[in-house]
Amino acid sequence: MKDIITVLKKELRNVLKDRRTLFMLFGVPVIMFLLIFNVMGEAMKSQEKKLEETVYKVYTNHAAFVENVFRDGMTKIELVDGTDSIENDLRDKRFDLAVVVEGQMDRLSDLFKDETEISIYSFSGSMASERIARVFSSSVNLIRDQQLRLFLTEAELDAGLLDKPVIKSINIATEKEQAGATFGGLLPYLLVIYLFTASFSVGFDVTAGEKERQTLTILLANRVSRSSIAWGKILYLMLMNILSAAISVVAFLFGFSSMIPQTGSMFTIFTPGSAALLFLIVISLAVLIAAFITVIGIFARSVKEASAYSLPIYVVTILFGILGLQSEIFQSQGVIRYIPLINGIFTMKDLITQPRLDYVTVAITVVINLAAAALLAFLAAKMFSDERFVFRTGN
Amino acid sequence: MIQFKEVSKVFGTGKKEVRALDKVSFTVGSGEIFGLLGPNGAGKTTSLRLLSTLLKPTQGQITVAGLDTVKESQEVRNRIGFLSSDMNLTGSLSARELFRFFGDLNHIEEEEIANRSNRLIGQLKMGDFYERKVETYSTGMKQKALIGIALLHDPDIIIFDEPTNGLDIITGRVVLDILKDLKNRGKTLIVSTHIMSIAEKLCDRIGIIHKGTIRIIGTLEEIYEKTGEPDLEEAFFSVIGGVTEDEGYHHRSKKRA
Repeated sequence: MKDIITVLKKELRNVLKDRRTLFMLFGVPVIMFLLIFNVMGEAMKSQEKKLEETVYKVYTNHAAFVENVFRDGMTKIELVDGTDSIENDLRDKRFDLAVVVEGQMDRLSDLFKDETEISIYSFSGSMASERIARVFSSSVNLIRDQQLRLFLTEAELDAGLLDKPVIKSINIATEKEQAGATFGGLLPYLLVIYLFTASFSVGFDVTAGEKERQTLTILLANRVSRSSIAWGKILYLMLMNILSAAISVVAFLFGFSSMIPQTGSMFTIFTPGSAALLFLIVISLAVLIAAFITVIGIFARSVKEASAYSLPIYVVTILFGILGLQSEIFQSQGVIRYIPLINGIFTMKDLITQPRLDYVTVAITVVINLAAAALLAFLAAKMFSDERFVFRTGN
Repeated sequence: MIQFKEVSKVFGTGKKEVRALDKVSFTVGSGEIFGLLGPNGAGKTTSLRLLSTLLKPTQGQITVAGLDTVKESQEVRNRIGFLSSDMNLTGSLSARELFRFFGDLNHIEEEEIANRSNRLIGQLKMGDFYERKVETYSTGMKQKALIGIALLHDPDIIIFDEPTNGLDIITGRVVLDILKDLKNRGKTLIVSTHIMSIAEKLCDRIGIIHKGTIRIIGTLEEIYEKTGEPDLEEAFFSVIGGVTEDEGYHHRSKKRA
């Protein structure tokens, strides 16, 4: 154990003096998240403001109708001429919306004539075009409802029929819980990305990188056992993964809170219990990824080769992370909780989004991941003792 | 002290099989300086890697002070100091910190590590570089630091593979002085080199290895006598069989003829 700690301390000393690596591991996530969320928040605000102030260009063959639809003045429009092709004009942004009215329509009551047909052309590649089309459609629907009300009243029928049945939509989630739902999908995805990212840079450097740079031989020629070298490196990588992931999550929480200030601090979505369980899952994932990266790093001839080997697993994990973002295809309580690594993504999501903590699923997730990590770590130690792997270089 | 018994080493399998060593046997006595000479690819580095437990023999047995290099590898490594030309140092640690690290790994007391480090720094003429990051070192300075690491635990057996490879004349001299000092202190040394003058000046006995087999072993005088050549370089070319196209070596005596 003493030798393992000595190897671990040496790796830590080395990285603590390497400002560039430290900055990449701990500084970049903080700067990146805070910057991204602030820029995103500002961009969203300014985009909304811009769309409200925009004077939308509209082409129509029935100017009076279109002006009537926008008569409240909330949305500013400018009627423009077009060429022969509405589609080309929309794509070229000559105008944002085209409204083509078929049939005679002198009054609003003509809306209900059989021959009346209104075609609304928009281009979804443009936010302005999408927005004005949406506003126009809802305004036309509003006018139609007003006209219907008028007809029913004139026919001495109950216009209130249009308001039946009464539909009440009640979302019991608080604002914080709604934010938690979004965050719950995003957090596991980002965490896994960061656990892998830290491993790629640090893990491959102390395994395949050392083989490549020929710095490993000096350690292997020493009296220290090779399993101690392997375990020292695995522990070092685990520690760096956990630290890097923890800092990334904290930066993410701060960044997210600053982007959506109405949710208050994102830290309030955690209870002490859920935070502790989340931390346990993160540790189990960090340990598993560290062991996996160490095995790949010892096996590969070079850092480049190691990166190529790990890419498929990384991509699969990211795909599951994306699935966890938006869908409920997989339930963490199902078979998925027995699949190492992937189970962590869904259990973390449930932990944040579900009101009740499922201790059994969390326990299974942690145990499965730690067992897989122990197996890989054992394999890594064996590989460190095998000349076929430690001297397998591209040189 | 050191014994190679019918040692063979094969890398790869099937068509890719390479027999790097073939039934190599020799012994090195305590306090002796043994030089292993041979062209590139002869099997020198493989022999020394086997001795330092980095590789395992395919056949045969190697013992160091009666300890088997496979079964008792950790005990063997405790007794040896190994330096190879394919070793390298990089990273943010200084030589001082690396000496401390390897001292800790060898379970040496902190004070003793400091004493031994100071002595080695003086001997190796490392100057202020001792405190700088090893990634800033020149080739020569890295070699000095590597020698320091190999000798820090004061091993009885020192294995140096091409210790002066790629060094300038000044650093080469420092390394030679270190080797002489180790010789005077009664250490057992195995040095592989292709620089004949080093072998002539330092070694008590020399073994010439070629294509994985030991072709001749003996003192300088014995080698001169067996080969009938007047110096080591001529004896070397005589033993390895002269010019071969794949190696690009030229047997000078044949040229002259």
